[in-house]
Order: sequence, then structure tokens, then C-alpha cells
Amino acid sequence: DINQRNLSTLTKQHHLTSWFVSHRRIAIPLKSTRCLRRSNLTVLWSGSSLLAMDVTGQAAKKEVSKIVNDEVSSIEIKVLLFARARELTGVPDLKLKMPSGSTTKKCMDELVIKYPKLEEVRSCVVLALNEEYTTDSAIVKHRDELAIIPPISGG
Amino acid sequence: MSSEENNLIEILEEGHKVDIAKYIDYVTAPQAGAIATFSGTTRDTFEGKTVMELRYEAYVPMATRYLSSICASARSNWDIHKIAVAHRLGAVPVGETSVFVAVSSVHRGDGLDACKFLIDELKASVPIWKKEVYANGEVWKENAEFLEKRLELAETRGSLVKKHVAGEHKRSCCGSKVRVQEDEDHTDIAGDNKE
Repeated sequence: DINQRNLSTLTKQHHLTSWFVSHRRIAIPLKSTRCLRRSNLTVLWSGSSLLAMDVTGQAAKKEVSKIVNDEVSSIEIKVLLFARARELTGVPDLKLKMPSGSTTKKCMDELVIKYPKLEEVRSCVVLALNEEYTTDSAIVKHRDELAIIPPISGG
Repeated sequence: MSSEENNLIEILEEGHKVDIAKYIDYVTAPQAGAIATFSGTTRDTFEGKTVMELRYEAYVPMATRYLSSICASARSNWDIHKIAVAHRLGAVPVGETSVFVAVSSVHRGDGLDACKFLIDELKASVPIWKKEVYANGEVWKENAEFLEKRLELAETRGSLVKKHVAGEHKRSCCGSKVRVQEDEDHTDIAGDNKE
């Protein structure tokens, strides 16, 4: 549990002065805590729970909610590309940042935006999530592995 | 390599040839009166074009996982003793083996049927790809077994996918595939140049 003592330690470590604690109580290992600094803002969160933030000035408050929405609710997945898909992008794998709750289809859409050449195989490929074939509507989680699989030809 | 019960599954790195004696030896057992095997080798031509070599790549962890699963399916359908499946990666010149399946069983019916099932399922679902290399071009192949299986997968997916698989029997997808220097007319090719 993130208890009062841990939180004080964390806020001191990251030089936070005023803090706001998420009302959600979940067990979070300390090592999964992330800290973000942008100009005069510091946001400390773990998983999807906001632990503490330091805000200076009214204008800053608007920025915080935007940052919180972007960063606290964003996830990062690993994308693997094979065969023709890899040739079209030029990379065998990459990291993709997506809003929390994104579907595999949205991830694919984002990949095609980043690598327009992927359009050539868009309708051909199937997707695999964490080494299992998946559907367009599956939801990706932080640190998932999404594989872009063109028509296979083993054997 | 993964050994579960009596399964030997190996995806061999580039440059490593398939040692079929090793796999036959693995499945051999005093109680098994039959050993059924399948070996896939690189053919020298495909639709009139001279093939120089095949080049294989794989999504290794998922391929191993699916091969294990296919072995489990085989065991639930037939009475078999041991299974060995090996697939080679990288360049496989004409005449050399890229995939090898060996199954031992008490009686030959189960072994032969299970062996056929294993290679058929491998071609339908295991994430391995091959590129056919000609003197004047190269193309990624597509297994008809996978394209047929995708029709089933499409049933469980959104309507966006259905429009691409409905209609007549598809031999390939995504239009032209052959990148051949002198070819002005693109041709759709699919299937494989094996067996």
C-alpha cells in the first residue's frame, strides 16, 4: 500500500510542496512510480493513480489537467513488425505511446499515420497481442506486445 | 527449444541445417511401431520462375507457443507417442530442408494422420514467413491455409475485416506481390512452392 509514510518520502524526494492524493486505494509497488516535470509543474503518479502534484499559479492548473490526461492516462506498448511490414517501415520493432484504453485497431491506425507505407499491408495483416492472435477491438495495456503479422508462409 | 511431455520443438537459427536423424532418434521408442515423418524442402521453380533460395523469418516466442499448442491438439486427436517439429530460419537453398516433422506411434494410422495434421496446422497458424528469391526479384509468400483460416477469424472480428475476405476464393491479398524488375504486369501469386 502507498501509505502516508511512503507518500511523504516520495514528495520529499521529488521536492513537492503541496499535494493531492487520489482517493483510489490500490497496492502499488514503489518502483512503478513515475515522475514528470514540465517547467513549473511536477506530477507524481503510479499506474493510473495520481499521487501528488505541485502547482504554481492559476494558469498552471489548466496545464496540469492536460498533462495528467496525457501522461497519467497514457500507456506505452511494444510493436513488432514482420516480413513485408518490417520492410515497409524499416524497423523490426518500436515503442508506441497510446491513450489508456486504446484498441488494437487504434494502435494500427496510429502506426499507419506514423508509417504511411504500412497502408500497403493494412488490410492484409492480422494482429497478435502478447503472442496470441487478437481482434481489432481488444484493449491494449501498458507494456503489451503487439505484433503486426502479414499473411504467414511457414513450412 | 521447448520440451513438454514428449514434444521436441526447435526453431533453428540461420545457418543451422535440419538434422533429421536427430529428430527421428528423438521420437524413436521401443513401444512405437511406426515413425511418420514429413520434410519440406526448397523447390527449384515456382510458376515458371527459377527459385534461387527461400529466406525464412519467425516471431519465435509466438511460433514456439503455437507449435506447442498444435502438438497438444494432435495428442488429443490421435494416439501418439512422441513428436518432433523443427523449422529452420534464414536462407534455405534449393534441395535443403526447411521444416521437419516426426511422429512416433504404436500404430501407423495415428502417426501418419497426426503428422499430416501437424504440418497443415503449422502452415495455417504458426507465425513464420518465407521470401522466395528469384534471379530477378523476390516475393513474400502467403500460405493458402492461413488465408482460409482467416475467413474463420474474420467471423469473430468487426465488419471492417469482412469486406476484404468475402467473395470468391482468395489466392492472395493486398493485390500485387511480385516485385520483378522486367515485369510490367503485376501478378497475384500465393500458395507455396513446396511439396
